[in-house]
Formats: sequence, structure tokens, C-alpha cells
Amino acid sequence: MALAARIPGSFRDPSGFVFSRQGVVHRQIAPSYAPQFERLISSGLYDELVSDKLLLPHEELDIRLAYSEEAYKVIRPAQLPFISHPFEWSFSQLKDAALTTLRIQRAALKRGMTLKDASTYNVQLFDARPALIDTLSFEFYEAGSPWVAYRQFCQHFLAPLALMSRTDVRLGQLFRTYIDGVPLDLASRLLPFRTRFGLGLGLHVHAHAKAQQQYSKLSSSDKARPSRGMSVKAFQSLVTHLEQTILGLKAPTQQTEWADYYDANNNYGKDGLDAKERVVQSILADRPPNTVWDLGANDGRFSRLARAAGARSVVAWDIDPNCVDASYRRVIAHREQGHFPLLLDLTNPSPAMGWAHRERLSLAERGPVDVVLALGLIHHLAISNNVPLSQVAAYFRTLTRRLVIEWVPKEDSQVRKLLATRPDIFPDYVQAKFEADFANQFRILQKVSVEGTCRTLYLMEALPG
Amino acid sequence: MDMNLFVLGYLDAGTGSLIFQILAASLVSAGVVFGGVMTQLRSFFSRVVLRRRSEQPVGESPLSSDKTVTALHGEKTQESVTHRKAA
Repeated sequence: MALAARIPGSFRDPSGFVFSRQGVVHRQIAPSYAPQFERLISSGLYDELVSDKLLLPHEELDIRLAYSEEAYKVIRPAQLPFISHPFEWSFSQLKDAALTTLRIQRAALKRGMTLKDASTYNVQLFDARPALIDTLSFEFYEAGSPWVAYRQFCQHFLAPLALMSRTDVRLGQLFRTYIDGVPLDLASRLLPFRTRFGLGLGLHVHAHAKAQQQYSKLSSSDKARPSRGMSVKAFQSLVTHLEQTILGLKAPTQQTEWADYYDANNNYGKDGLDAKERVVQSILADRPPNTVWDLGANDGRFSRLARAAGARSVVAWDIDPNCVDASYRRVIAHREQGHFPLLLDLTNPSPAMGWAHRERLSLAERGPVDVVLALGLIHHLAISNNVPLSQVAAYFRTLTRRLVIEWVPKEDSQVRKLLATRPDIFPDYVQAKFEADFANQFRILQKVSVEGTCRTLYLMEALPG
Repeated sequence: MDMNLFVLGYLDAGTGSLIFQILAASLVSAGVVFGGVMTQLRSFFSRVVLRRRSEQPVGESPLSSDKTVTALHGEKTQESVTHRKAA
């Protein structure tokens, strides 16, 4: 039997864990979780959630495929082409994930179950919708008990959404530091003072943070135990109230330089852009890729081209939260399956995170992909951020097997703009040096000038080893 | 109820958060009940206004009618209730 490997990030929940066999993700369920799993299936909750596309579907496999002997069941969930992290999400994606979690909680409650955790890491885009990927997140609902994941929900969803909406959209990056969500006392300090007076944020963030602080000050002997629980109606009201609070948070609207890049703010005429599309199209059609990362994707124009060329999954990375949010909303509205618009600052790419740096994979660890598109990007790395061309080439080689990259010379209006306010300290930024540095990492397969521009497109293949 | 019964999963739910949540849920439930009562009251008065409008003779503008204006301002509420009960 093929060797199996445990996924390093799957260790917190004793109900089971995820492992991989021949690159296929499986989930092993522990005997201790058997009653809950049976209820999930027999109550009809699983079928309801799967048919509403709120939960990742799975199929049960032969128990002999278990990772270890102490297994109750082994399931194979629908395979996700890409796992993203919450700090890579736009505001709308985080908001949709929050609402999905609450919808699942509401459905579970009707069938006598509840979510035992509410982590952003349990939600991923599947079939162009956010869906819960952790089948073992359900627990029996005990009459009178509060929601054990309430605090986690507020930290993972409500607080970051409130900060992104009411303070600054860039605060979504706090997830990089706080893997278990934004601490509520921190969120409370960072939110504008007026938010204390709203019932939603005032209650679930500010007062909640205060209550946590007050309670932590008490000695263990002074800590009061509640004399009564929480009715199911109160539980439902709490979920509804959280839902209303989140619905009330609007996407921040900040004008950014990239939001209208393809419409107006670029040096392409329509002909130039069409010519570039034709070249990229023909390169991709020649050998259709399965997985593509479009670095600096802007509104995802070329990512869609890659999808149309047959790529099963295209991740459209961009640094601009507005672009990513607009692209995400389009993906959801048009049900563009296999298209994942995500946030990324390539000069500081997503790191490995969590316990022993193994819980959440870095950008490079989630690759390599078949094709990386790096269109209109090189000058931002080499000139705006002073990254030597040789290092760009070396890093790109860790990400992809083939590279479609656009050379943008100093004569280009975009580069002239970058150099307008600073001295030109980039004597090496010339096409010959670019080709030489990339030739150390890639074999250049094709080189095409883009009609109507001074740019050149290259198709390269990573050198072996 | 013993708090230990609440600890269902592997998460540390935070005792402060659990206690706070019970209070918050009571508060929002009360809000829901209050909101429900307000909605019922609003819908009741809307029905009264609609009934009065439908009783207007054809051709008379409802807004020019004294009866409707007083109903809109809620001055004859008791009378409306009495009529409704009688009906």
C-alpha cells in the first residue's frame, strides 16, 4: 500500500486528523468521534449542508486505507486545488466565510448539533463558494449550553472584519501574527471610539473584551460559575445578532492606483493589450497547464485567460486589496470555479506559520505550480523594491515549472514613472542581464515582442535539479 | 448548571467569554422580543390605517380625510381597537 503522510497542521482536534496518500488528502476519524459522526450523517445535517454547498462532500473509504490502526472511519473529502490563509483573503471573502460559518451553525442547531470550532482555516473556496472543510467540526448540542466557539468566532471573523471595515483594510494582515484570530482587547483598542456605542461591535467586541479582562483578573477561587445556561432561543438570537452585525460591516472603499489599471491607468492601448492577450493565449494553449499562479494579477484578466485555456486552478495574486475584492466578488457572482483571487505582497510572501513552522504552509510550500504568470511585474520587484534580477529568477524557480514573464524596459512609461522621483541606480536593469540571470534558472523556450509596446514576453522552463 | 458540562470540544472557550456570551444572548433575545412586539404593533396600526382608507368614499383623497390623518397620528387608537374587537 502507498505510504501515507500526516499533514503537519492537523493535530489539534483529537476527533481525527488529515493525511495524504499519493497526494490525495484523506481524513481519519477517531473512535471517540464515532457517535458525533453518526449523528451528523443520520440527522440529515450532512446531506443538507452538502446540498447547500456549505460543507465539503466526502466519500467513505475502506478502513484498511487508514493511516493508523486506531481508526473508526477513513473518508476522502473532495480535493481542494488550493488552500489559502485568511490574511490572503479580501474583506468580502472573510465576510462570506463568516456568514457561511453562522449559516452552518444555525442549520446544525436545528438538528441538535453545534459547531465546536469556528476557525477561518476551516473555510475555503469550493465550487466558487465558501464551504466548511472540516467534517469533524460538529458536536452534540447540549440543552442549555452556550456556543463553545463564540470567542473563536469573534476573534477569527468579527474582530478582523470590524477592523478592516471601520479602521483600515490592511489590518486583515494581523492574521499573520495572530494565528488564532485577533485578540479582542487589541481589536477593541484599534477600533474607532464610536464603535463602542453600536450594539453589534459594542457588545461582541468591546464589552466582550472587557469581560475577558475582568474575568482574568479574578483569582480561581473568586471565579463565578453561571447558575443557569442559555436557552436554544437565546442561542439562535445570538447567532442572528452576529449575522446582523457582520452584514452591517461594509467593504472599505479606498481608491488605489491599481483599481483601474486595465481600464485607464496603464501604458497599453487597446491594441497592445489585445496583442499581449493573444501571445499569452497562444503560449498557454500550446501546452495547457493544470495549475497557474498569476502574480500581480490585478483584476484577474489574464487569470481568466488561463482558466479558459484549461487550467483547473488559477490563483490570482495581487497586492491591492481593492482589486482582489472586486475580483473575488466577480468570481462569486459568475460562479467562476477554480479561480482564487488572493492578496499577496510578493516582496514579503506568505510565510510558514504556527507550531514548528509546519501548521500553515508558506507560499513556496504550496507550489510548485505548472505555470507562473509574471506580467507587468518585474519592474516593481527590481526597481520599486531593489530585488536583484538574479534573485527574482531564483525565487520564481522555486514556485513554478514554467514561467511566462514580461520584460518591461526602462523606456516603458511605467518604468519611467517609477524612476521619475528617484535616481536610476539600476545599471543592471537591461534586457541582456535579465536574460542571462534567468538563463541560470530557466531554459528560455520562446521570446515574443508585444505588438504596439516596447515589452517582450518570454516562456521559460525551470532547469532540473 | 456546571460550566464543565459546557466544555464540549478541544477548544479553550474561555470562561469569561462563556459567561459573557450568556449575558449577551439574553440581551439580544430581549432585543428580539422587543423588536417582535414593535413589529406587531407597527403592523397592527398599519392594518388600522389601511382599513380606514378602504372605508373612504370613492373620489375622496385619503390624505384629506380627518379620520385617516388622526389614525396616522395615532390619536384614535383606542377607538380603532374597539372597532377591531367589535368586528
